[in-house]
Amino acid sequence: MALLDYASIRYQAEEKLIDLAVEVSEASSIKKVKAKLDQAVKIRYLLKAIEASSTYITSKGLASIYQCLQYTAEVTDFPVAPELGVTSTPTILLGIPGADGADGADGAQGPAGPTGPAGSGSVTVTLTGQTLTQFTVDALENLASPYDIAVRWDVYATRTDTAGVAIFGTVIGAMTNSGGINSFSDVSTIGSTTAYFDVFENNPEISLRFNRAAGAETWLVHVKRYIITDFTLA
Amino acid sequence: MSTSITALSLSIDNDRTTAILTDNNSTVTTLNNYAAFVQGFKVSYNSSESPLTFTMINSNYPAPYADLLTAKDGQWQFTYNTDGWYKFRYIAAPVWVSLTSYSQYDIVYDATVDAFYQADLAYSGASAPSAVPASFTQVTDLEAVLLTIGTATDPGNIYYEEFDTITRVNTNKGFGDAAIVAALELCGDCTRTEDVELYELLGVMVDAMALADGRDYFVKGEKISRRAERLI
Repeated sequence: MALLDYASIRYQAEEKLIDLAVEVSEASSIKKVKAKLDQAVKIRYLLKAIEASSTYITSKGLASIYQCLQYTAEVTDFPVAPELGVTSTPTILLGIPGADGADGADGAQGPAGPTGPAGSGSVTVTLTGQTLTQFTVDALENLASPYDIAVRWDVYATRTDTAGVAIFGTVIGAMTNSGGINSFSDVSTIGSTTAYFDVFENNPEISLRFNRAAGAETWLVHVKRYIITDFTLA
Repeated sequence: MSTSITALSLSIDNDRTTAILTDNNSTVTTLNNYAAFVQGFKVSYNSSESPLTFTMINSNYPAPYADLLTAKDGQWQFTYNTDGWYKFRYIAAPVWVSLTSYSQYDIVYDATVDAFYQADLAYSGASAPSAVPASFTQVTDLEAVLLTIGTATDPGNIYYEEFDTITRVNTNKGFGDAAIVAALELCGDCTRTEDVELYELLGVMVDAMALADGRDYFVKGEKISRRAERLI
C-alpha cells in the first residue's frame, strides 16, 4: 500500500464530505438524499478512525482504512501529473485536386482617382503687325500676396517663318504687399530687343507678356507655368 | 501600501447568546497611538451582508469604534443569534496629531469626535480632521476602504484585516443533544432509529462546517448552517 498517497486521499475525502453535506442541506427532503447521507456518514466515520486511532493501529490496518476511504469517497483522481505519451505523426492522405472553379463575377468599379495637377499647354501666337506687338500669353488669376507670392514661367519660342531663330529661358513674376499697394517685379527678361518676354501688372493679377518687333514674323511660343507658394519659416 | 495583519479572534459564550470579537493585534505593538475600527456582518449564502451591532466592552475610547492600541485590549461584543458565515472588517489607523503631516488618502482617528477620517488632500494643519471638511472625509464603510488596498488610492498608513469564519456552536449543541438521545437507546445492533440518524446527520454537518471554515468555503458552510439549525 505504499503507493497510496494518504494525505491526498484524506484531503479529497474531506472535500467529498463537504460536498455531500451541502447536497444534503440543499435537498428539500433528507429521504431523497439518503444514499448521499449514508455515504457522508461512512466517510466521516473513516476519517474519525484515522484521526483517533492512527497511533494505536498497525500500518496494515491504517492502509486498509485508507483503502476503504478511497473507495467510499470515490477518490479516483490522484493529484499527480499524468504521463504524456509521444504522439505519432498523423498520416495525411492527399486527394486528386478537382477542376478549377468558374471565374467570379467582375468586381464593382473602383473609386475615382485624385484630380491631377493643373496643366499648361502651348500657345501658338501668329502676329503680322508692323509695330512692336505685346501679347499676353498667360494671365494668372488673383495672385494675391502673401498666399501665392510668385509664379515662374519656363518659356521657349521659335520663329516659324525663319529657321534657326529661338529664345528660351525662365521668367519670374512676383506680387509684394507693401503698404497695401501691390506691385510687381520683373526679375528676368530674355531674348533679343525685338522679341522678349516680360511680366506686367494687372492688379491683382500679373501676366506673362511676349513682345516681338513689328513685321511679318510668326512665332510658336511654348510656356509652362509653376506657382511658387508660400512657405513660412519659423 | 497598507499592511495586512491577523488581529481578530471570535469567541462565543457557553449559553451561545453573546459573541466577543477580540483585537489580538501584536503586529503593531511597537506603535503607539493607533486606534482600531471594526465592522461586522452576518453574511447569507448569496453574500448579502447584514450589519452587526457592536458594544465596546474593553477600550480606552468609547463605543462603537475605537480601541487605542497602546492598550491592545479592544473587545467588541454583539448578540449571537445564529450559526453560519460571519465577516469582520478591521483597520488600525494612527490617532491624529496636530501639525503632523499626512499624505493624501491617509486615514486617521480623530479622538475629539471618536471617528475616523481619510485625507482628501495632503494636510499638516492644527485643526482636527472633523473640523476641516475640505480636506477630510469621514470613514463609514470599511469595505470601500479595503477595496482601495493596492490601488492608487490605498491609504498606505493603516493595518487591516478581513476576517471570515463559520460559527457552529448551535449545531454543536444540537449534535451533543442528539448524541445523548441516541445513547439512551441502549441498543447495539438494532436498526438505527430516527434519533440515531439525526445524530449522524448533525455529525456530518458539524464536521463539514469545520472543514468548510478551514478551507474558506464560506458559502458552503453557510448553506450547511442554515439546514442544520432547522434540524436542531
